[in-house]
Amino acid sequence: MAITAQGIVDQIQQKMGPGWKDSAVDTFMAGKPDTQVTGIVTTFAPSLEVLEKSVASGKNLIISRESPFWIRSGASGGGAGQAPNGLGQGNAHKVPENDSTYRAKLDYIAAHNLVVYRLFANWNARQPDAQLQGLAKALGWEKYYKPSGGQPWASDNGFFVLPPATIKATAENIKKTLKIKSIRIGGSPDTVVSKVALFPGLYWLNDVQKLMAEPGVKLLVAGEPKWENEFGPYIFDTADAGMGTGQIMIGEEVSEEPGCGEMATWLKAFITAVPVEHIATGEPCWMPY
Amino acid sequence: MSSLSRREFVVMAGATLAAGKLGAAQQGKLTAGEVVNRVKKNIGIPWIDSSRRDTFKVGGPSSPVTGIATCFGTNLRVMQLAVKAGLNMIVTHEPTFYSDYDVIDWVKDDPVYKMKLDFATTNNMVVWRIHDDWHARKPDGIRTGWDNAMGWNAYRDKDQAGAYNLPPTTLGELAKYVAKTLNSRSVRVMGEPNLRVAKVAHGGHQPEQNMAAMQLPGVDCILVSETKEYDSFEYVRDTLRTGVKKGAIFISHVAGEDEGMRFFAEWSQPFLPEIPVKYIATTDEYWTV
Repeated sequence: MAITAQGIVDQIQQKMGPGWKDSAVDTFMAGKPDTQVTGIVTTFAPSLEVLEKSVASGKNLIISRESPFWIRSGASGGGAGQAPNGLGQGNAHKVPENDSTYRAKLDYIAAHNLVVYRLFANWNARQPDAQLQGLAKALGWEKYYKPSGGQPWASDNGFFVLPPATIKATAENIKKTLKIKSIRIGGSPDTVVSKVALFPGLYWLNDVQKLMAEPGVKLLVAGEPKWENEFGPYIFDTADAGMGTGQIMIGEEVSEEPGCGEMATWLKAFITAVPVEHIATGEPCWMPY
Repeated sequence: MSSLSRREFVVMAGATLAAGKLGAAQQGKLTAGEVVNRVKKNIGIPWIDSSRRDTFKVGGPSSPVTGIATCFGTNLRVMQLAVKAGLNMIVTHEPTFYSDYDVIDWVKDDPVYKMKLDFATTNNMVVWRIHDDWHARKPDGIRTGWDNAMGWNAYRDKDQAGAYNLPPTTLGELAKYVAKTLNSRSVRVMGEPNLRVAKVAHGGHQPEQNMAAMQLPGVDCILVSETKEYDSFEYVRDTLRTGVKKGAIFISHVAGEDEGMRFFAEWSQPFLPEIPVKYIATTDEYWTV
């Protein structure tokens, strides 16, 4: 059955129902909406490597969290990532038209008839939060889930009571379970923690304030702080004050990729015209230690 | 104390007392406002009066000063060390209260903010930030301190600002040197460990800076102090995928700028002879397993 990229997006909107909000973020980032779809790939970032793998597996519609042109605002981005009240570092970025990587990617997308659609804001707004659920599942933490009243699996309700362990042992365990190479840890290695706040992706000040205010929470496991110099010290200061707190930063891609797998599972349930596959973008870095 | 004779102990106690008296006498002499005036007089650039960063965060111009602690970030640990060393004025490069402009509205009811403010006021501290003006100095005060620490003054490229021509090494070895020299345990790298590296250039916090640095002809590796994973990391990843043989070393914000405030202490002590000006390392708070 022939279906266009726009047809797939229409199905997604329909499935999301009245909760769908048109936004500058969730849009076609590359390719033509009337392109016939051969298959769908979900991923964190539509990197050149992911695009190549999509072509190899015969799929031409990539539905991603991030933009193929790297930035979150301006002509090719979308607004997510603004400071809560517009103060702080702005996000008005623009890719230079003549950038050779930009050109190479545009050419690759055109040559292979690819379409990239960014599904970010509406996916994040869905309840329960599949990014949180996906990461919890990847960590094997579902059985430790202890929501703090309110809506279970809401983005700001990612609380888990783990068997007590030191921050160092907890980090080692996470590194091994997620099979990652780079992990950044704050807090005293020997501090014993049990109640943890899990927060995929980027955290802002209002996120860390809310999560660490939950009674008993000593550890934040997240992707990365929006800014290390602004929001990172919030938890460092409580650790310096002897409150036995810490933070484990596992990276944006690592923390968000399991949720992109959840997206593929969700799509498969109602998109029958074409095959759907999750292709992980993969951890970007290694560490020299 | 057992190894000291009674006479030695009495002499030492007397010396401590004298120093204490001297400190008290100095309090009447030097104010934080006078410290700021002398910084403005000596920095050699028109002062940026419009800066929302370079302002008092705790205390004000009339606060008496016993000594100055210069630092990258006003972390509680830095404040604790300053108090121990008898230094009541913090000159910081980065925020104190968890946002770039230290927006008190965001934290006024926050227990972590209250704890920190309480620590500062109980210990008669005054906190003043120098960010924009220290970067605007010619040459940039932060970069000067960083170059000194890295031992790269002789390697600065004469034509390309922010670039260095190093004795040839590999990406892996360079990353190890960076981590060791800057005392950082959170260095992350992209590229082949065996890549030959001679010309290195600084990127920046913003993606456009890293796009520009990656595109510089002849540059083998970019060195980036805190940037975001979802934009800059993904741009570098794609650039390498196009076949470009380059590398990227990502260091924490602290590792990129801490040494610039050691330089501030060295630079300002001569025009602040009445009081000690000491650098207190914030040191990369992140570590790894």
